[in-house]
Amino acid sequence: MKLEFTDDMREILEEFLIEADEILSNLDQELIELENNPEDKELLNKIFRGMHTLKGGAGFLNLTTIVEIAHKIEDIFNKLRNDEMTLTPEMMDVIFEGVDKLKEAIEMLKESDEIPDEEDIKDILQKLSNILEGKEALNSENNSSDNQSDTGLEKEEKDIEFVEGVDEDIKKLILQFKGKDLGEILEEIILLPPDERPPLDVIEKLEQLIVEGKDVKDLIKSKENIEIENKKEEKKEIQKQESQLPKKQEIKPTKEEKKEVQKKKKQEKKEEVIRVDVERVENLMNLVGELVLDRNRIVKLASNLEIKYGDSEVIEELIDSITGMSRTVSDLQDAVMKLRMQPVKKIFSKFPRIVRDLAKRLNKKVNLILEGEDTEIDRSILDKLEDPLIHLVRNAIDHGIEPPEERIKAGKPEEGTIKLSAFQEGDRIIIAIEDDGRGINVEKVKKKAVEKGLITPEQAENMSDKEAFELLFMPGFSTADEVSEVSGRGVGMDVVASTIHALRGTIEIESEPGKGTKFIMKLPLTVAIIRTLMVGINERIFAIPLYSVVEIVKYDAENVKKVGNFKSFMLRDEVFLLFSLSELFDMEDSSKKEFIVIVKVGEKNIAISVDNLFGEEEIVIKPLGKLLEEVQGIAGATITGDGKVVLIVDTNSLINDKKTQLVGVL
Amino acid sequence: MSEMEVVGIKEVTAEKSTEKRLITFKLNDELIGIDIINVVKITIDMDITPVPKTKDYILGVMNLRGNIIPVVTLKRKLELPETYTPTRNTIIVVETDFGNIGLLVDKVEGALNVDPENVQPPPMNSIGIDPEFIEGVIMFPKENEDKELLTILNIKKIFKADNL
Repeated sequence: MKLEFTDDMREILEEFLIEADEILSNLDQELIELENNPEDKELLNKIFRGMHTLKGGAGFLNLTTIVEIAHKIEDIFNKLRNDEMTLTPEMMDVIFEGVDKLKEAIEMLKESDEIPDEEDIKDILQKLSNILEGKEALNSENNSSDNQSDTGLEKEEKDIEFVEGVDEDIKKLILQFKGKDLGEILEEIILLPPDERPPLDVIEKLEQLIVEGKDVKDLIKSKENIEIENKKEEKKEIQKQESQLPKKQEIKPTKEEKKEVQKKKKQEKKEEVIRVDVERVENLMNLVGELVLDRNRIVKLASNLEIKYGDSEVIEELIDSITGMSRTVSDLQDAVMKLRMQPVKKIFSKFPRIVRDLAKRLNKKVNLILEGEDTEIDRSILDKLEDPLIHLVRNAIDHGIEPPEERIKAGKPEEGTIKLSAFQEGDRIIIAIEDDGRGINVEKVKKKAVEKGLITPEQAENMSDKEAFELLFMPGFSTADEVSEVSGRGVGMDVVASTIHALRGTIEIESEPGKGTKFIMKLPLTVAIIRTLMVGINERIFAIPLYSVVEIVKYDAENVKKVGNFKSFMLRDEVFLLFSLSELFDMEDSSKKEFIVIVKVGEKNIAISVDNLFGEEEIVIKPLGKLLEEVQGIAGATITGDGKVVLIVDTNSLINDKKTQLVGVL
Repeated sequence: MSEMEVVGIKEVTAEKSTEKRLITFKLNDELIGIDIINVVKITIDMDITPVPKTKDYILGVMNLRGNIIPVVTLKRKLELPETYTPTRNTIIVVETDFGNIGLLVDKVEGALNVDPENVQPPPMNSIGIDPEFIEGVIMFPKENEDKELLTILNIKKIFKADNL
């Protein structure tokens, strides 16, 4: 069904879409939690409210089919929370189906201003209705059915007695929206479609009451107060007010206090959150980047000035104030960086559902443990992490976790465990996926790699286990039959690895046969600003990201040996492959090699010889532009204090073109 | 002006306003022009940082107002001989589908208005530039000598995915 929106409506639509996304993405997790804990009232209420909000918003925009589905689900949860129904696994599946339909509808709406036709949702509506009716039949012995369809409104109506002088319209509203406070009622009726909305003067009256600090409990006299309050889970305040309410005359002295409470409530409800366009944050980030560069420039100039003119008082003052400014710029940089940070929860929350569905499909029992969901990471990194993580989790369920029978035979608990965890370590975020499945069969991996011609049998022979695991990340390792299975979504392990590398992260595998497998990803906190080591070669300067620098030592010709086509460098008891930076960049080899920088390339360490070291610098990464985006070994460039462009070394792709010759040597 | 032609209302405004404004420069001895619409900036003696492992016509990258842009040796890109090497590096920054790109040229001559009616289709193999890259040529009268040939390049075509 195609829809038309006016500009005003479109604005509301945008808001609605954001809200709907939030509700639906939380919903998956809440539903899974509910599956483990079907009696959790708080959770049931939360889901009910989410559906309710969704329905309201959709109703306002006249998104009929969305309203219908949301309405049905809302009804189900209303019954669940009122103990009129108990949740069964079969119901859960239908509810999931309904939620998926809603997600689908929201996506359609986003992409093409369309919502599903009545015809498309008939099925799911019927299924949802079946749930509703099926249970009603059972309950009808106790209650009359029309009573239920209206959540027992009529019955409860009798319990409410209004205090004198309450406006008739307001009375009606309170009855209609039982259990809600005036603010909530106002919200409700604003969300109603225009033709169902009460006249404007009623809304004004309602607003007036709210402004006066009155609420439902001030307008009615009965035990109902307590119930209303109960629903709002604010037991402490009830106790206070319970004793005051029956005697209306005495309310005055406490009014101030109540106003306070109400104000507080309002504040608590309104989360202190503003939504900001990503573009604006990006823009801010760029500006801060420029500021960082300018600061570097000014600091450099000031120190030149100091060298040239010595300790003059003015220069001292200048340097003092520059130091102050430097600190503020650093703080600003941190603050802006934080704006871009989002908790990994955003993608972790999708996994309970994925694991549940997949385990069901593969007849496996899997328990998912999430850890460190509040760990924050740069949004652009987070967005790119989703697919690799999904791939790894699917892999873990598909290939890692054994079927229940096999697990029992192996003396393991029937239910497999997958742990998805995140935590911060220095300026890196560590994300790990761990399963207690069968582990990786090293011999099988080697065999396959030999078959595929990725390595020679001799290389396979000499390979350590860790090196063999690396083979999984090589392009062309994943086979077609794997792709057709659940694990494949067209993304191979090589894509996982290259995505992580493109984010300037690393990925490692630990695995023990029979015990399980662990993938460990280390990612930078942020994308735009990094610390680098400035090195010189052939009179040119390059920046090596500090996270990949393991160690720096003096060049010592005695420890350099020739091994076949390559050179090696001995440091303590370890042997590293040695290159000069100029060699890696196909430049003439410079004559003087003064230092050796041990860097991490992928998961290996290699030694790179350079002519000079110029110390550490914090730099802003800038792209080289579309024309040069695929240059191997260069991650981007930065502009230094004197306005010159310095290239940033991408250690991960640095030896890509030598990799085929290096398998087995590395 | 040339935008108008794109829209296809050339006939309506076929008088003076159709004039095309070109930036002209020298490559060796040849006079070359490009539409001023494509030109972002002209710089002289900017620092250029070479980028390893790139095509030979990529001279390197430079800093343009805080952004990093690639610099192309236009003569190499057009496969012209490098018979003359200027002492100063003159770079015309142009806008392309690949973002801003700096073009190293020998010397900028200036701006020039031409009447599109005088533009002739590219002759085959006129000065050794692939005709695909040429929008047209103009016989440009000179005071003391014979006429001089001005070759107008099509920047968008030179920096198209297939031609890189």
